[in-house]
Amino acid sequence: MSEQRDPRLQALFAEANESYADNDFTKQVMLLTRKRKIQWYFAIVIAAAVALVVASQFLQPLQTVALLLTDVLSIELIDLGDSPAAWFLTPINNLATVIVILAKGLRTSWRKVQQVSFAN
Amino acid sequence: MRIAREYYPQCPEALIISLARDGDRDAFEELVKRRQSSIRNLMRRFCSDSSLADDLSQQVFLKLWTNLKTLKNVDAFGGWLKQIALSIWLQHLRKHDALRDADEYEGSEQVTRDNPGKSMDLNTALSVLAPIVRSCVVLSYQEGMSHEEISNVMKMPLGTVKSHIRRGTEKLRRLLAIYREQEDQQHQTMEKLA
Repeated sequence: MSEQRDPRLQALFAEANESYADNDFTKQVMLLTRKRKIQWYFAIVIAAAVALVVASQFLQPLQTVALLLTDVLSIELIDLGDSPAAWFLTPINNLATVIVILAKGLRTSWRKVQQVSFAN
Repeated sequence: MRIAREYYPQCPEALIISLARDGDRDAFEELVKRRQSSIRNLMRRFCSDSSLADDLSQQVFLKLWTNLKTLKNVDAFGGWLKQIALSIWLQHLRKHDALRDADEYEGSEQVTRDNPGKSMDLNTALSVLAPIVRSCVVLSYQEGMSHEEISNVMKMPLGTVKSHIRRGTEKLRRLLAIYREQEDQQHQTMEKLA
């Protein structure tokens, strides 16, 4: 079918268009926007209050856990004392490095196992 | 410098849109005043119920207010607003599960002249069409969109859109035959008088 439209029908659509200069409609729309704005502010206040409560309840225990984890992960594997080598090797001479290497190794092994099982 | 509200009716629309986008409520109000006719007419074609049409139109402007900040190109405002109106209408159809029903409603009533006004007659005739067929016809005739554009916005195959418009047009022609008769009569009378 071509894009040609029925001219009479098109004329009827054009003639049927009405002009609305309705103030009530505009007022209603503006009222709805105001309500939406208030709802938005209310939601922000509620979210902020919830965040505050959660922070006040869980911030202290979370901080304690984080500090404990940091202490455990930074335990030296080999005691090198205060030598320059100790300072130089600090980034890898800790428990966190072992955990990362172990995790990488496990992941690689798991992939290899999967490849073998798929090949079979 | 802040432009006084009284001057808004004389301001070019691009300026009003920019001000409304920056959160000026008075400018937005002016925008609603300017655009309400096109949106309300469109919604009245989509759904024959005028109060529902107005409710949906209000939702269109509410969505416009919420999303206006995301409008980058002021020149694209008209098409963007039309897109919002269509999405609100399609959302309404989906909620009422009308998109599943692609067949036309039963009913072959011819539009009578008891209904005052062409708008009402046209809306009554359109209401006989299935919602999805009606949407395609309205977008084509009311908004002047091409079949391809309709296919894109309605997310429907081009062939289906063409078929809906063809069927809808044929049905509308039958339903609105009274206007053709009336025009022909007027034409004949004019010829006689001449």
